[in-house]
Amino acid sequence: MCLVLPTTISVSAAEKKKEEVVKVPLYQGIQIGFDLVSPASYLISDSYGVDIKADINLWNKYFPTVELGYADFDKTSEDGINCTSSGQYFKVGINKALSYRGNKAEDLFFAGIHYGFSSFSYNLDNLVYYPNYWGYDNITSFQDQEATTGWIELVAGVRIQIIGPISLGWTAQYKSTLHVSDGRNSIPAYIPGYGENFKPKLGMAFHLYYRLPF
Amino acid sequence: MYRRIWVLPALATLLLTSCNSGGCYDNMDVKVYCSFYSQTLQKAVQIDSVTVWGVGSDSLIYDNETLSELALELNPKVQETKYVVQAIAGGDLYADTLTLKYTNQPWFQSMECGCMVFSTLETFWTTGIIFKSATILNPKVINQKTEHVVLNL
Repeated sequence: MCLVLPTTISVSAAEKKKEEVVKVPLYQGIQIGFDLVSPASYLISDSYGVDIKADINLWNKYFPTVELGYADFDKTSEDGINCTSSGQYFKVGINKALSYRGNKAEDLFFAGIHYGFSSFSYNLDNLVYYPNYWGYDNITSFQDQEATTGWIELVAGVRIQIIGPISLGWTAQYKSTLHVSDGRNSIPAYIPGYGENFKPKLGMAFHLYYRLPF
Repeated sequence: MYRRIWVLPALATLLLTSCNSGGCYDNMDVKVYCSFYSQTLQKAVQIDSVTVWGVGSDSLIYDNETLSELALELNPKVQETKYVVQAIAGGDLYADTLTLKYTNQPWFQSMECGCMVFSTLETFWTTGIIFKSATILNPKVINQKTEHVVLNL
């Protein structure tokens, strides 16, 4: 009995060592993700849009990712100020697998860093001036304001295989603008792909993924 | 573990999409800051018993106060604003009229704060009773405190 136990331990240690040296090929596939929340978010917020992203699985470890989207914003404040904004955005970044399950990391827990960029236009209507000693109360509007913005996103999330090539996943985002070029007469109130112009900002995304068959 | 881990964040997605922080936290004061400088003493000075109001307004900006500077709000509807400055010295009342000419640029700050008007000072005149002259140091008047004008005694 005393001899059997060390032998068993010795065998499983060897198996473990054998598993560790299995080399994962560089290319492990491409996943396309469709944002499920943005298209319907006008039901619960002042914006909606479409968003699609793709990432390449390298060694089940690194996931370079690109993301394209369009967002539309229409909000009226309590004071009656109306802001409409629309535009495209682009994000590029890399995620790192913190843990995964499956030959091609079908189930994945990841963290990453992304850079986002958007060039867009916006209109501001029914603007009210902040009162001063002279009691200013005029109303004005600024049309066709244009701005470009870049921001950084720190992300963490999971992706879970549902069936075959289909997965679902969420991503938590911590965003902060890096550069904002103001419009002629204004600071942009909304940035497509980023959200309302607060800094820093938290966000969540919920995606349906499809793994390409090659 | 993997199967369950996305359920709660999916709900949080909906909450975060619908909630955002608001409120006006920006400085919305746009004022011309004018310091007093004595050419005789060669230093910044204070003036006692100062009363200031804008020409065309019936409310006082300062009422019999000891001041080392004036913080004046320009009238954003026009491009020239006048202020009367009164001071008592040795029992006598002195009054000066300050005339500022400027151009305006309306500026939208945020949905919560609304708009303000930035200005660029072009000229600054005094009638020479209290202040012999005025020197514009920084013509850009925005929502940041900086020394724009020196009033020379």
